[in-house]
Amino acid sequence: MLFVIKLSPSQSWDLTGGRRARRQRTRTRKRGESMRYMLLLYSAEGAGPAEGSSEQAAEMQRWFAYTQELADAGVLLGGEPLHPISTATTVQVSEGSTVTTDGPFAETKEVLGGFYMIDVDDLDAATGWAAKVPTAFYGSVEVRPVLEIGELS
Amino acid sequence: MTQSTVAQAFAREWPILVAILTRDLGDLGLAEEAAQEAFTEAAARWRPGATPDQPGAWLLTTARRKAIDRVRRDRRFTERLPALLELASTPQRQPTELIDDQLALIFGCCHTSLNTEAQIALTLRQVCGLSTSQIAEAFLIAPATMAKRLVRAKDKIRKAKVPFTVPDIEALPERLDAVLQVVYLIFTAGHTNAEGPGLVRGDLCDEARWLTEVISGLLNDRSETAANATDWTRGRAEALGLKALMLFTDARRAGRSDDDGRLVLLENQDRSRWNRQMVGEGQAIMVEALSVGVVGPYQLQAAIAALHSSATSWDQTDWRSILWLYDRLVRVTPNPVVKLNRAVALSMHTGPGAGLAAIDELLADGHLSQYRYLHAARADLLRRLGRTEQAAVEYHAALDLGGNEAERRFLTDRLAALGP
Repeated sequence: MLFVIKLSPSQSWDLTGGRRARRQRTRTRKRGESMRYMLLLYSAEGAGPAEGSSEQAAEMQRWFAYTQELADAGVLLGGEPLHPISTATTVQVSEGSTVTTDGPFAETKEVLGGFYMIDVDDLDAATGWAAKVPTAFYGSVEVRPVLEIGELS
Repeated sequence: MTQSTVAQAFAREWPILVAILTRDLGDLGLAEEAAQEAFTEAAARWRPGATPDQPGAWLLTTARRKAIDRVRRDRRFTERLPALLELASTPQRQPTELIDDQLALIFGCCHTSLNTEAQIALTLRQVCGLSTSQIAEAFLIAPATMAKRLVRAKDKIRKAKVPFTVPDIEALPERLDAVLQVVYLIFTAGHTNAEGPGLVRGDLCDEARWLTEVISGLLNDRSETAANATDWTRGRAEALGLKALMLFTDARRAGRSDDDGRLVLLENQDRSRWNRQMVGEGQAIMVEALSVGVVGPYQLQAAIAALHSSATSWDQTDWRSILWLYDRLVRVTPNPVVKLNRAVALSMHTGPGAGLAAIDELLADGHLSQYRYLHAARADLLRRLGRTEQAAVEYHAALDLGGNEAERRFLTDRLAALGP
């Protein structure tokens, strides 16, 4: 089962606003400045604790605790769980026509189940946080640096 | 023209210069270019009797000026300019900062977020100062491929902000393992030519040995000032173990192939061709490493190599102690290759049948079925047991899995010697 987190009001973040604020601050990254990383949480569906099991309750607590830890450390920009892959729809535009298909972009055993966006000093800090995500214990966490728009020039 | 003065300065100052510049500029690629340009200028300007009193300081000043020029030309870096101009008037680094800068460069090049090939290439380029084409030549690949590999690695370092810093103490053991692994891989790449005619490419072995010298020296200096000195000392013991292991192995270089370039097994090597001075040096380093009192995998492997080095012949080798060391090694690093080596030691101590059973156990567990040395070892044990038909099948299996020419000739000879 995929993880489910309801962010409490104090735990919700305005991603768009955050990004806009940041974009003004950083055009090009400078030394010593923090970086945004996306933690992409992948696991095989059904790899986590079974629904309704006592492990699931404990798992939920781990998610809450982890999210709170990120927030307390002041590095959390946002994060959401996603519905199972069975709800996915894939869209492609080819030669002017939109092709909409049921299912994920690629059939893989491990699927994207959610994400966190964090703001930390460097890759070591990001991988350090990634190693604490509950998914890391039964799936994997992909750490991707965010491409700041200012870098594109 | 003082080519040799510049060359000497290069050997000594290159890693230090790149390390300082990487920290100053916060960009490995920029640091490398600035260092390169500084040396180019040194080659053009230094004259006999007119070399700077402090070549290192001269190079750093020149490199910083080059970096400022570069940053002025490239608007991607313009935001760095004020900080750079400030640095240009900064006094020389403190020795302790220099140690950390150099360690940071080594740990950064061997960062586990980079793939192993990239770690090796970066280390040879940034720390050893080899040119891209030299590295490409050493690994028998096209210079353009190597250049691309380096560019991709530097691109990831920049974009993902791979830190070039001394790791936190909790991460130190893992990160140090990665560094020593890179050095070991450089050494083995030199020691066992993957393909091609020769058996050994000495230049890579020499670079690897030089790296362990630098690393153990830096770790030693670091442990003197660090609050958690034990963790650093522990790392130093393993770095020394690796250095000793490479010395023992490299000492046999002249004995590993005959005058025709044929591979000679340890068993049949003319031990008088071994470099006794290197063996002695290795033994001294082992004593130093063991005095630290924390034994790790490199020290265990070095101890095994030491026993081979001090044995007068294959038969006179202390197989019992070697087997005991392998048992300990398997416990620390339970990987199939170590188990294969243990099986060979077991065959010498107990008999070929016991060795064969241990190898078959590995295969039954699904390990190393595509590893040519497993088949070569299995062939040899079958040969010793007089099971020639099965031995022939195994020699063929080993030959089918590639290897360098010297190894292949060895296997072909062995196969032929089995008779019809």
